[in-house]
Amino acid sequence: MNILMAANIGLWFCIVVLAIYTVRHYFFTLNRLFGRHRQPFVDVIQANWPPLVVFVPAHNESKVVRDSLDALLACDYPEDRFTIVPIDDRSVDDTRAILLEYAATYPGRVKPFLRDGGIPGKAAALAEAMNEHDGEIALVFDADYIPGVRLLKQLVAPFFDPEVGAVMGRVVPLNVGLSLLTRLLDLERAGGYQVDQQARMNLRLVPQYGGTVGGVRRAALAQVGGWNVDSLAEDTDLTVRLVLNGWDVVYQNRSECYEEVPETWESRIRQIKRWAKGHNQALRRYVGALIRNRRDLPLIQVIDGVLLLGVFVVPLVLLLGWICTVTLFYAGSPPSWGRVTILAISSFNTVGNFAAFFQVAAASRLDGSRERIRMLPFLFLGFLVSTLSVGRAAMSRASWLRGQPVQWQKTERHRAARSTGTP
Amino acid sequence: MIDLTTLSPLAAFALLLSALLLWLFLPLIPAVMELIRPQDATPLNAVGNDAGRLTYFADSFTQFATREGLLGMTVPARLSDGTRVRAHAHDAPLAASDQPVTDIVVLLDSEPLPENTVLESECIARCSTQQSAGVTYRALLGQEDVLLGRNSTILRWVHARGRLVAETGTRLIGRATADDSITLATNVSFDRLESGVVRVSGNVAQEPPATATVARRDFVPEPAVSMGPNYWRVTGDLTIPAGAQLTGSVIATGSISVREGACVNGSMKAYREIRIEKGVVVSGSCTARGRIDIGAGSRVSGPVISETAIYVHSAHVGAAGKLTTVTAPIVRLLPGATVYGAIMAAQSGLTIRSVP
Repeated sequence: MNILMAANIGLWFCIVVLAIYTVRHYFFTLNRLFGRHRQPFVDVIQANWPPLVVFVPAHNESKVVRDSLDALLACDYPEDRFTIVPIDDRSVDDTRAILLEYAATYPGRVKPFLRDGGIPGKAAALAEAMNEHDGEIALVFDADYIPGVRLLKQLVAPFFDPEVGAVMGRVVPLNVGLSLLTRLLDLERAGGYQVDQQARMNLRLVPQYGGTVGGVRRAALAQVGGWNVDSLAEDTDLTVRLVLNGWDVVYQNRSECYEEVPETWESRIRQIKRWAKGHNQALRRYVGALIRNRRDLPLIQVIDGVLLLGVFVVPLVLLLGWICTVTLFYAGSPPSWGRVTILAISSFNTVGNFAAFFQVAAASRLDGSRERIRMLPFLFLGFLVSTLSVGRAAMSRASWLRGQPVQWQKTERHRAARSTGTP
Repeated sequence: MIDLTTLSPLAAFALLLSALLLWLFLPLIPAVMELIRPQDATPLNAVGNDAGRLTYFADSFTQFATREGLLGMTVPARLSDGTRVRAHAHDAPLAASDQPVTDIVVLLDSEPLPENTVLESECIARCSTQQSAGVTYRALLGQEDVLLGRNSTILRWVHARGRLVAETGTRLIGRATADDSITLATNVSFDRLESGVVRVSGNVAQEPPATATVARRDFVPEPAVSMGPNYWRVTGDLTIPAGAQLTGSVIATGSISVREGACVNGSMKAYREIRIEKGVVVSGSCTARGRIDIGAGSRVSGPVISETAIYVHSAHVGAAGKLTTVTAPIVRLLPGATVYGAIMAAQSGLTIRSVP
């Protein structure tokens, strides 16, 4: 096979992949705009609530962890069935002292889990802490998250369905107005949750458990083998394993929780590279299993699962497409089926490029936001940075290798630290 | 006008480039303006206070009424914002009228309003009241028991500090709550109900136990995939035989039929329908994509969740002091149906005499 043929095949591969993702974007968005909103558990307001443990993994989180603990303590979940377990994993700031202070102030309700050894990282910390506590349901919140009063009940409600293995709520940025970046992330989050996740929920596909503002059923976690401590994205890893084993993952759009999004581009780039590496690692681990198990799972879930895992490879595909196009152009060789190719590429340029923008615009409309939609053109900047970051991450060894040691990789916090225990 | 033909090639290029950049910048103008002078840069209102608390409006109005003196010994003629207040009592009743009453109305005693009165503002009933037929309330706060006459309509919410009774033909649009109990006649439509106990008047079956009280033969679904200890997944339909006892939770990709007198010590999920026959006891929850039927004399202790419809015959859901939720787009309650807790019908709730 000569280089021109390879470039032709490569180009057509890229066109097909990008077309699939374009259709996916539009399909999800149109579903959210015109389809039935599926939220069967949102009205469960009275129940015999099961024992619950809320884990808050923390590594150097002294600036934010007080707000999170205070918000959790104010939740309306029955006190006698609800324990908060903040996990301090070898912090070098005041995190541990703050957790001990809360444990003393709220004995029995706040039970810190302190780590000084073992494998570092969120998954390993969760795995160890969960061994020490036996609640039927385990919810996980990052230390910068601020849940509302009713959030815990909302997140636990789907577990009354015995098929539900994990639940994910919606993340809402708190520090929206600080910079261009935070405003763009606010739009991206809206598109990701209000449209993407909810459309998957509506269509019975694979909503993703995101590792925070959500939780797992202990029985399901045990059945799929617990947390993978060498995973860079323990949430994606767990989502796929649950689906492979017949459990449902539920997304609750009305279960909203505030978070602090990155305020600097450096922090954002680190965050997205981490996500990309974790996703790619999960892609390598589970894409084969998903396809092999296609007879046990609905075909639509298999397809969505593969596309979900491959989402951080798309920038690489785009890059490959550019290389193939340039190669064919300078070789003086038009692509095979030239007119069709040109039509496909120009179609992508006029429709496909705007699929993600359409999704974000639809999310803003569904949220009832008015003026923030004017920021939409700037999303190009955010996507460009994300594409380059994801591309770099996809070429790193950590994206594809098995069993690499995992370190704490956390997002820098910008909130001013509070010095007292109660607000 | 500039004569473009007289421009040097460099100037023409610069002009073209400037025009192009201006063209590219056009869509950014609103974005730049929003960036410089933010109009919409606050966090989304993520944590709704009214979600999950059906008495939210009643509680808020109670606070408002207390502040305005509507619950005191005397009734003010106007509120602080100028809204007029009218008192209604045996010795000073509202006159019957075809015109809607736009003022806030305070019922001072048990004297019923004239039939077919339309109240466009909130109404407070200070005493237990048995109201006339055909009255339309925007919202009604009862300080004691409230009995809504035939064909009454609640447009937004009603809350009774004691019991709430709705006679036939009543439409409860929005939220209907009571501290003690809610009793509905047949042909009462509703959206959301919540109380210690909600029942439909009629032939109430003897209250079944919360757990099995007689020895039953154990039943294990086969063939089934184990999802953990006492946790099964069945491909296709599942029938739990009469008098059998299943200990654990089960998911069926078809329908589930629980035969007469059987017992499930766990939860059930069906991709299609769940049919619970007479005298069944389910200690956990029931979830189905299709319709759920709960037969007479049965008890389900956990939440009942359907993505289609739920029919509760003369059965019990939840228990006294152990409240639960029945939620589906369509909910139908038959005479004798008793639910401890909340009933949420996203599309249509109705009490009916028999299943059509």
